[in-house]
Amino acid sequence: MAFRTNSLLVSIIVLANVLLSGCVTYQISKYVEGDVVNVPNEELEVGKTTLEEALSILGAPDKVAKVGVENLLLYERELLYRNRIKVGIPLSEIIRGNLSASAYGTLVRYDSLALFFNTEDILSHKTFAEGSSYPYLRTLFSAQQ
Amino acid sequence: MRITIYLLTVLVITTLLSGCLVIGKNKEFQPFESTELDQLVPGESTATEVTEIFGAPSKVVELANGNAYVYKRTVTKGTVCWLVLLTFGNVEKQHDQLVFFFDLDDTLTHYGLSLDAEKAEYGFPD
Repeated sequence: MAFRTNSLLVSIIVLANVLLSGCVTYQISKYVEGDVVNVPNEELEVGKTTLEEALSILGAPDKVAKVGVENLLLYERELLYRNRIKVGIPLSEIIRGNLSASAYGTLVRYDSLALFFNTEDILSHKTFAEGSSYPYLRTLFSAQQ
Repeated sequence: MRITIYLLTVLVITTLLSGCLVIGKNKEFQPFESTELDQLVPGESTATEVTEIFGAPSKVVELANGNAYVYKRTVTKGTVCWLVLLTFGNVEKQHDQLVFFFDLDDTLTHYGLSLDAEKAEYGFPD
């Protein structure tokens, strides 16, 4: 009797494992592109710092562009976080089609330092946005676009 | 009874820990050597000399007072770990980048170098 109960229990667990594996999954993903953006505020002075100085301090920019009569140097780091939960019941062995539902939230944040240089190669203005300082869940579910 | 508990424990543990781990690496290669920068002199070297040494740039950008030649290579490292209930994925992409600035006469005025490709790492999301 005891042997039968044990066998039954083990069989149920094995069956449940086979049927339910992959039914509920939680995925955590992270994608990072670019190195940490350091902002040496005291070394980057608007109206004084030259392009040569900026390049020696920060290295090569990630993007270069012409903006009107100025040049833009952009130093950027991209951070993507995604959390996903998926629930599904593989019924295709019994009936056509499967039951599944999933929900995910993806948040892409950027740390960006933009330096604008005039045609004399002098820093005319700068701006820094630290997207990574915003917390994942609060930012994802905030009403702010 | 003891055997049953033992069997159940083993089954639960092996089930929860069954999965697999994948690691991968991608390289977008550009054969430039930063040591060759010594051959260039800002104010003297030309765009032609730069392309002779470093080859064709990955990108050419028109600027307000000249042009920029961008040389870029990338290393991407990815880690994915599948468990029964949990999946972790982590991808890190880093670049080596060399940007040359030329004036309207195609004379080299400045250059900037960043070597970060080696910083790409395998890992798990934190």
